[in-house]
Amino acid sequence: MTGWRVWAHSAFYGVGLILSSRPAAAHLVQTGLGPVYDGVAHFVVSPEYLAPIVGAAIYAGFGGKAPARRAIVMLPLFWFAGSLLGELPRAPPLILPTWLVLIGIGAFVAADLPLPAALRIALCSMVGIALGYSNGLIAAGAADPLRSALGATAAVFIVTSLASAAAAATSGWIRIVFRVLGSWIAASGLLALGWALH
Amino acid sequence: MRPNTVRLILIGCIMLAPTCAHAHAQAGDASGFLTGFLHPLTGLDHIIAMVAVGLWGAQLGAPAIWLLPVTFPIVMAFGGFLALIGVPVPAVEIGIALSGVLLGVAVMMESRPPLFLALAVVALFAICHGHAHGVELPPATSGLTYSIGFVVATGLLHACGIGVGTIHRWSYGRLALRALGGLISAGGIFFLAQAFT
Repeated sequence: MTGWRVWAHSAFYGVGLILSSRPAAAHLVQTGLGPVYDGVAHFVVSPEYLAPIVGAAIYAGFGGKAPARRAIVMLPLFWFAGSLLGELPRAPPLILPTWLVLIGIGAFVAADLPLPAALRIALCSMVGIALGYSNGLIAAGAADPLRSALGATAAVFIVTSLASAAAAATSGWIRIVFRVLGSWIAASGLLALGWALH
Repeated sequence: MRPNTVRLILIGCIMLAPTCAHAHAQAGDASGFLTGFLHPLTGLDHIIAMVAVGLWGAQLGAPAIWLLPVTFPIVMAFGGFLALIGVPVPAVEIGIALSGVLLGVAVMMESRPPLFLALAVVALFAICHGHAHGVELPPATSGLTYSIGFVVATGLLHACGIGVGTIHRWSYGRLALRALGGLISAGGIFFLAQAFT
């Protein structure tokens, strides 16, 4: 193959390659490993999701082993339900302010408020569905939002399991370390409010 | 045209092929966290005051030893919040330097005021430190991760202070701690002199 045929073939395939752009996926981390890992990565590198989930799991764990076990099921379940709702077409863009979630959860953990187990689980469920919905709104623009939601839910499950188990199994000084962590979350939320009003 | 030339053209086309848009995907998050984390660690005036809070907490024992690290970040964040919404706090730099002086003296003298007074003193200085952090956000960084960075760094400095402060249980350790308080106080006086010049 010589001459104009080579140029023609090169031009044909070249233009084809240049025009073969993949869909834009704004607002979602792309790992290149597929939508499940994109969902995992988006949750792990987003402190506005990670910090409240860790806080809610710790607070459930502070209530003892029973609330910790229930949180392991309820928090990811409500997250996933929220994600599915957020991914629906024409889902209203209702996003809970980051500062409100961080201050609320951080204050509960820092103060170690002695609430009944049912209220702790209710709090976890509310956090799960609110943040999951927000995550679903963002993931709706991805190539495969359902798998992305599954990936994020798996990450929420792992983080919740670790944090709630650690909080339930500790007492004394380690519990105070968790409370300090809660005060850091609340402090970050207060500053996030400052940025929102800045 | 040689086959190698064809390959080069095709490789060039592949390299020019547009990939996904990554609009708004966590822009500035990593730099925000690092900048915020390094901010308290690059100012000696912040370091000595934060370590002094931990040392004093260790000297005072329970409940101050855990109450101070729990409340300080929230009060400090309140100072940062004031800075962000544009509320001026007068003489912030003098307040930061004074925190080094007074907290150093408190450690040196092993002073044991009532708990509420110790908390009030620390809270007052926390507002000054938070305000200074709040007004110094560099452009193009994420505000949230910057905030998380400097809250975490401040908390770790407290932890360092508490860790060193555990030598308080030994008699020589107690002396060493008081000497350290004197050093911190001297550092505070240096920064106070700088604040006035």
